[in-house]
Amino acid sequence: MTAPLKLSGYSVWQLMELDACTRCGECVAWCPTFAENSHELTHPLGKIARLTSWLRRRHGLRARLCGPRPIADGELAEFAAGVYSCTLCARCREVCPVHIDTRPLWMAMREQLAAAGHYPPALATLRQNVTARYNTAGEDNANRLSWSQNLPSGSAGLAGRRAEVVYFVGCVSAFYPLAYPIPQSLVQVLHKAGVDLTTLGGEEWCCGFPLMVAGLGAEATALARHNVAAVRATGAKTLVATCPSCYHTWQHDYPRLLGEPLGFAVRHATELLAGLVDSGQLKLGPYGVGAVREPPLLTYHDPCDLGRTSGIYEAPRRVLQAIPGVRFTEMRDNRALALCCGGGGDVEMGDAELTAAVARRRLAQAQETGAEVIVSACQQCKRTLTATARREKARLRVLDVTEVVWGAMQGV
Amino acid sequence: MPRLAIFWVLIVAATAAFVAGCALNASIWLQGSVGGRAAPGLRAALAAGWRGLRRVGPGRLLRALLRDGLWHRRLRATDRGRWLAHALLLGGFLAMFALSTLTGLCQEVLILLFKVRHPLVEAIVNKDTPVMALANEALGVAMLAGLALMIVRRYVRRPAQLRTAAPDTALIVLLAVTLLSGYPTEVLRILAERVPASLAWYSFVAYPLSLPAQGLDWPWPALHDWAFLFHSSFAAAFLAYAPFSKFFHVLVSPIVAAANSAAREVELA
Repeated sequence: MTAPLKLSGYSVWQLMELDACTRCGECVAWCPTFAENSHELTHPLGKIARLTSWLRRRHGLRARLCGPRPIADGELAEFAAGVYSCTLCARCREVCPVHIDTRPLWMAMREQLAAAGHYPPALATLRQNVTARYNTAGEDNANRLSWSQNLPSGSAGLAGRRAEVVYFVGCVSAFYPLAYPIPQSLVQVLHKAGVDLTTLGGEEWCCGFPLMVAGLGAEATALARHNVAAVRATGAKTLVATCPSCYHTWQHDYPRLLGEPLGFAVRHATELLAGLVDSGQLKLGPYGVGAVREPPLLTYHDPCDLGRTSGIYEAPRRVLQAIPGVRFTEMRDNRALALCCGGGGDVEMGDAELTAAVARRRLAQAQETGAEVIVSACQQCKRTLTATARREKARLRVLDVTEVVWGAMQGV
Repeated sequence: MPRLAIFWVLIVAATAAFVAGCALNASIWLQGSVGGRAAPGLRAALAAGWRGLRRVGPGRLLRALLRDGLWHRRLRATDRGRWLAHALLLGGFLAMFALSTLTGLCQEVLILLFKVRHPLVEAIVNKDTPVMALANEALGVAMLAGLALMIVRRYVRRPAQLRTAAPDTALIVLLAVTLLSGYPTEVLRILAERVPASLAWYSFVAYPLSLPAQGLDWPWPALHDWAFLFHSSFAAAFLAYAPFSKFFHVLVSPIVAAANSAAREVELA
């Protein structure tokens, strides 16, 4: 079995990057999942060293002279266990002294492993859900607006019409009740700010990100084509996403997959909110102030796909700090070096305990600050951190920026 | 066979192995893909590189090369000690390589081939010219200091993030023997050529080491020849082994660091 060594599965540049690795181990010290599972093939150095040794075994000098040596199926399975334990948080890229662009490398490894059938079984279900039902949950896709039922105006005007802005809700916010407050808050905030907003309703299909990170991205182009056509049909000038992974996929992957510009702007909700704050369209009051207490101390958790991957660090902070009387503090690891919540890279589907362990470490960092609320800008971070906070009985609330903003608009 | 003839045979063979190793590595890279197209060939890969260069701009790329590829800004911010060790070893190596190339060029091309007898050329090839002696000695000390810091970190302090395998140790041994054997060679040269103290002092490590042996009546020229060949053999082995080892990163990582850093800047701009 030699699937991970199908060299054309990696770009010329990625093969050069493998040789650029100095084996300094800086990435080992920063890898959030290796810190928990101690699996030598989880950390970046281990993955690169293993792949490089296989490359030499198959294509090196000795292989050219004496013939390539095989890679056993057991070795591949062990490698896959490490590769699929990675949350794709990209912290390794931020600390690599030679700037290796690690995340695409891990994704290329996953593609090769998936092609050889070495991937967690849960990801087969994910693929089935997305390709057959167009969402990660495997629910009826017509129920994508379930979250809107509790809104004062219900789902009226939220689908099937043209608008300036299309809100791409994302699978987690649409199908996991824990995340419902995120779309509920954003829609109400934007309505109050006078933004002409609609959604794709049942015409919204999974953006394809979960498949791409699983190494099963072959179907992503069809999903991209459908979604882009659906947005274009609304005549929208802007697409807004609360999910950083959806945002990143729309902003960076769709133009590449389709080979053409989208024809509309793609913004993350925090960018849109920051713009509305700056323009004065969003009026914020104090947040969470009761009769007898001061405002809660907030801290902000940078989602990997919004911060490191998309470079958006300041917009959410600007929004939070625009709240009158806000009390805000930073965690030890923040911005480019923020610790992952453990919820990325489809890891939870294969190893929920590993995700929880990473999340516990992040919660502990938040607790060190004395914060009472962890604010994030990602429904997956919210799910992961909330579930772990409950399990750990931590006195911490986990909220999305949109929820905090909506809360701050209540008294205005 | 005279000493220098053996030396040149070694160096030519090692250089051939080095070039072959680099070509082998490049042939593996070229089996990758460019823009989704498998095994695109050298021309397509270079064209992709050219497009990348135009996207980021030569100025930005050059800045990134200096800042991230050579100065190693990130490493410096993370750990000054490691940065210093790396800078001493790499800087010393590059400078020594440049100095040796210049000396070889003057000796073998300008003097032997073109019979140039300019005082500057004579000064460059003369190992006892104060500047040359001092530069060689100082660069050797810098590299040894860098290597010593690396050895202490890897084998004494042993931080948890490091992974030491047999090839790492082999490379360090090769480098250490190459560097350390340079000093006995220089000691024996000073003794063999009876370099006067006023000039020999510029070899500020080798000369003091040679003092205890000054009164001995040993066959210093022959011993120097052997020491020189020993030192050269290890230097040649190091050169030949480099593309087959992790030391190859010395060539590739500045390019990768510069290009990725510049591309990231453009992406986030």
